[in-house]
Amino acid sequence: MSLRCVLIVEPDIIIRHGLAEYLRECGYRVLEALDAAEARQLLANKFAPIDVVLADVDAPGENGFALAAWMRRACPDVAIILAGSLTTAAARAGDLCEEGPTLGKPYDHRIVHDHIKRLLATRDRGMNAD
Amino acid sequence: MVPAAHEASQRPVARILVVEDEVLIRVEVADALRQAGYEVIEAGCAAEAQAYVRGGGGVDLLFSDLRMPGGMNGAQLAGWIRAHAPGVPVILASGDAGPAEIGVADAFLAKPYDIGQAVGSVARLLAAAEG
Repeated sequence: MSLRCVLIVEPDIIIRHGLAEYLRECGYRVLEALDAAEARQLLANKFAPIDVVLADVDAPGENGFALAAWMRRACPDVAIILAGSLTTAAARAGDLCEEGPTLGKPYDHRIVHDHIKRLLATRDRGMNAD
Repeated sequence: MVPAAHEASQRPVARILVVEDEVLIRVEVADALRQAGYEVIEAGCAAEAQAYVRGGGGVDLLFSDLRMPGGMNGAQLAGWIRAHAPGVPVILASGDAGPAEIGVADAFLAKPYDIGQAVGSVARLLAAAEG
């Protein structure tokens, strides 16, 4: 079975690299994007079958909300976790993604991993039920 | 297959800082280097690479595109890295480089380059750096 693939969209290299290395150690294939534009390229070019996207709602420019809205149209099967500090945006996030924005930054790597595992397990149960 | 970076069992994994603004190229290079056993730090521009080093991140080899957006190109980044981490080998890649810029690097790859050739250049320079 091929590795599950997580795409991290995060502008801070130190945060992004630390989380990416942790998830690789956990057994995931991890792609890294600096921003939404890079994420769209990776998703649109089918570079790898991406299972989960983790995006920052506080990112400058096109933020995680805009990316999630695009993904709902372009690749609705890919799960999304939005992360950030905008707790008032919870209702908006609920329309766009399965998780978030409940992840604060800096990320607790174990909590991020728990979110990913839970999301993938839910998706797997849904696919098996179809 | 034994990854190149793990051939000596106790040797720490070499850290390769890959700086490339074209994400599809960056991911392809990073994937190949990880499969060869290296730790890869991905940066999209020179400023990101500098932020990583300033944050205390270690680098054993710089693999950078020459032409990038922002105020610093790959040759200038090579000089900056060498000032902060003397002895770090540098590979520059470009489809459009002059002799002076090529001369800054320990190895130069003309774009589009072969990924296997790129991984081989990394291994060769790291082996030479170890003496």
